[in-house]
Amino acid sequence: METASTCIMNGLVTSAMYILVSLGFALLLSIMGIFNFAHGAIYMVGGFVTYGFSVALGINPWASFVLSIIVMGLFGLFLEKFCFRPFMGNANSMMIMSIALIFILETGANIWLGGWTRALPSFIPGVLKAGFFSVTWERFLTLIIGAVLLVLMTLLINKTTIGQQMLAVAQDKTGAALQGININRTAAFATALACMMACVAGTLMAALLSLNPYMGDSILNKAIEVVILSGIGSIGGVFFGGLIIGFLNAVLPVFISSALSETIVLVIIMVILLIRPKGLFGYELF
Amino acid sequence: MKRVVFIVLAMTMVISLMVLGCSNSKTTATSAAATGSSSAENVILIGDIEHLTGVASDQLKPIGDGVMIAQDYINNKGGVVINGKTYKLKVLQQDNKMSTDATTAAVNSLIFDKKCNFIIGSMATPIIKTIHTVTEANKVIYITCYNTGTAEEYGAQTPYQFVGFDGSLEIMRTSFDYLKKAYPEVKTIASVNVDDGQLKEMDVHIQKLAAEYGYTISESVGWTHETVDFTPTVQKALALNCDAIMTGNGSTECSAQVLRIAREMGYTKPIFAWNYAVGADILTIAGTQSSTNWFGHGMTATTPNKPALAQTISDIAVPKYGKLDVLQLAGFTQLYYLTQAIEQAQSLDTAAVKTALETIQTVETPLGTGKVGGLQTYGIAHSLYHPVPMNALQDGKVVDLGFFETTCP
Repeated sequence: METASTCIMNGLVTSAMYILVSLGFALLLSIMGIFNFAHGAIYMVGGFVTYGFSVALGINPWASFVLSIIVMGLFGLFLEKFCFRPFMGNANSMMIMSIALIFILETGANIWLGGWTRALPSFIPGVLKAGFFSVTWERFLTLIIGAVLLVLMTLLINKTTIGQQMLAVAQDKTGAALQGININRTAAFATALACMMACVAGTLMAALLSLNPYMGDSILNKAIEVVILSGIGSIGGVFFGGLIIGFLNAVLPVFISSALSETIVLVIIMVILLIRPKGLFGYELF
Repeated sequence: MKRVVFIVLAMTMVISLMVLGCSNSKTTATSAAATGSSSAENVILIGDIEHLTGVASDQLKPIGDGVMIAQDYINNKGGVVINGKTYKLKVLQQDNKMSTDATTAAVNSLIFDKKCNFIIGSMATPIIKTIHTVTEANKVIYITCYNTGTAEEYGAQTPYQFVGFDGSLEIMRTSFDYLKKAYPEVKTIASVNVDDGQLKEMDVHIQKLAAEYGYTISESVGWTHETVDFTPTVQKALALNCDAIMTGNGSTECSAQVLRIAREMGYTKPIFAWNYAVGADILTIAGTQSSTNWFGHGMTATTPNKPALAQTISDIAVPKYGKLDVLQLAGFTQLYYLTQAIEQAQSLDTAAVKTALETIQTVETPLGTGKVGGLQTYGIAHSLYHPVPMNALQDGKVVDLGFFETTCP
C-alpha cells in the first residue's frame, strides 16, 4: 500500500514537473511554429536568475521568484525581437539560431558562474504526511503550481483577447494580420510568456533537484517527448502527455531498471505515434 | 537594412573571436615563457586530454586544472633532471568534450602532430578506451587518474596504461573500513550506481570486495544519465530493506539527491558514497536537514592535517580557482607520478619509463606516500594507490574524518 501511494504521489509530481517545463515549449511551437531547442537552456537561466537574487543578493526567496519571472519575461521579449523575428518563416535558420542559443547560454553560464552544482533553498521546508501519503512540501508546491499554471494558460487562451489573437496567429498568420492583429506583438507576448514559464519550471526544479549549467539538456528531452506525444499544436494536450510520461517515468523504474524504463517510455510513444501520427491531440489548437 | 545589420553583427563576432584567439596564443606563449619552455631549452612534451567542456565537465574540469598546477610546480622546483640535464615540462592540454570523436582527434593530434610520447588525463570509461586504443598501438605511455575497475578500461591487455590515482575499488576499501569501525551493526548494503553499460561487471567487483568484509550487497539499483528525479531509484533501494545505502560511480548530484530523498522518506540509517563526493557540495544540494549520517571521500581547503604537498596545492588552487577540489589533486598526481618515474628511469625512452612506473617503490603524492600494485585485482600491477581523505555529514555539518590507508593487491 505504501509503495502504491508513493508511486501515485511521485507520478503526480513528476507529471507536474514535465507539464511545467513543456507548457512554454508547447506554446512557442503551437503559436509561433518555433521548435525552440533553447527552451532547456532558458529553463536553466531562469533557475540561475532566481539563485542570483535569493542566494547571491539575499533577497527573500518568494520575492526572488517573482523578480526572476519578470526578468525572464523581459529576456523573452529580447529573444523574440533579436533572435527569432529576423528568421520568422525560415525554419532552418530558426533551428540553427535556437541551437546556437543553447551553446551561448550554457557555455556562458559555465564560464561566468562556474560549472559546479548548486541548489536553491527550499521554498517550503518540511514533509506533508497524510495517512499513507508522504510528500515534501516542495514537491506538493510543484504539483499545485503546475496545476494552477495549466488552468491559467487555458483561461488566458480561451478567455482573453491576447489569447484569441495567439490562436488566430497559430491558425493563419496572414489571415490574422488581415484582421488587424499585430503579429510581432503577439509573438513577443508568446515568447515572453514561454520564457516566464521556463523560469517557473527552472526555479522549482532548482529547489527540488539541483542547479547546474547543463540541467536543461535532460529536461528538454522530456519536454520534446511530452509535446510530441500530446501533438504539435495542442497546449491542453500537454496535460495528458505530461501525465502519461510522468507516471511512466515515476513508476516503471521502481519495478525494472532505469535504462529499460527509459526505453519502454520511448517505445510506447513510438507505438502511439504509429497509431495516431499527429499525437494524442495534434492540430487541435485548444 | 536588415542584411547590413546582420553582416555587421557577423563581422563583429568574427573579429572578436580572432582577437580572443590571438590573445590566447599570446597568453600561451607568455605562460610558456614563464615555465621556461622554448625551442632552445630541453622540454618534455606531455599530452593532456581532459574534460574541459561537455557533459560532466562541471565536475571533471578540476582534473585539468590540477595538471597545470603540477606543471608549474615541477618547473618552478627546477624541472626534471635526467643525466645532469634539466628538462621543463610542457603540457599540451586538449578537450575530450566527453565525446569519442573529439577524443580521437585529440589523441591523434598529440601523438602524430605534436609527437608526445606521454599522454595523461580523462576519467570516463569510453574516453579512456578511445585514448588507449591509440596509445597502446603506438606504445605511448598513458596515465589516467581513475579506474572504475572494469576490464575494458584497463588490465593486462593495456601494458602501456597506468592509473595515477586511487581507483573505485581502492576507494571502496576505505569506505568499508570506515563502515566497519563507525557502524558495526551494518550487515547488508543497498548499492545505487549509474547504469552506463558497466553495471553488471561493476556489481561483480563490488560484491566480491564486500564479501571480503563480510557484507552482503544487493545487485545495484541503476540510474541513467537521463535521470532527472531520483525518487523511483531511492524507492527501489529502500524496498531492499538494507542496513545502509551506498552510492557509487556517477555524480555528486546523485549522491546528494539519494541522501536528500531517502531522508525525506524517513530513512535514518547510514548512507555513504564510495566515489569522491565532497561533504560541503553534498550539503549544498541535499540541504541541512537531510545531511546527517552520511560519509564519503573528499577534502577541501579547510581540511586539517593535510600533507604539506596538498597544502601547497591548496594555496595555489584557492586564489586561482576559488576552491581546492580533490580532482585537482588527481590531475596533479597523474603528472607528478609520471615525472617521478622519468627521474627514476633517468631516461625519456618509453620502455625505460614504463619499467620505472612499474617498479617505483614509493611515490610522493599530495595525499601521502603512494605505492604501485594491482596484479591480483586488475591482472596488471599498474595502479598507484595512496591514502584517501574522508569526510562526513552529521546534523547538517561537515566533519573531516582524516586520511585512510588503502591497498591494491
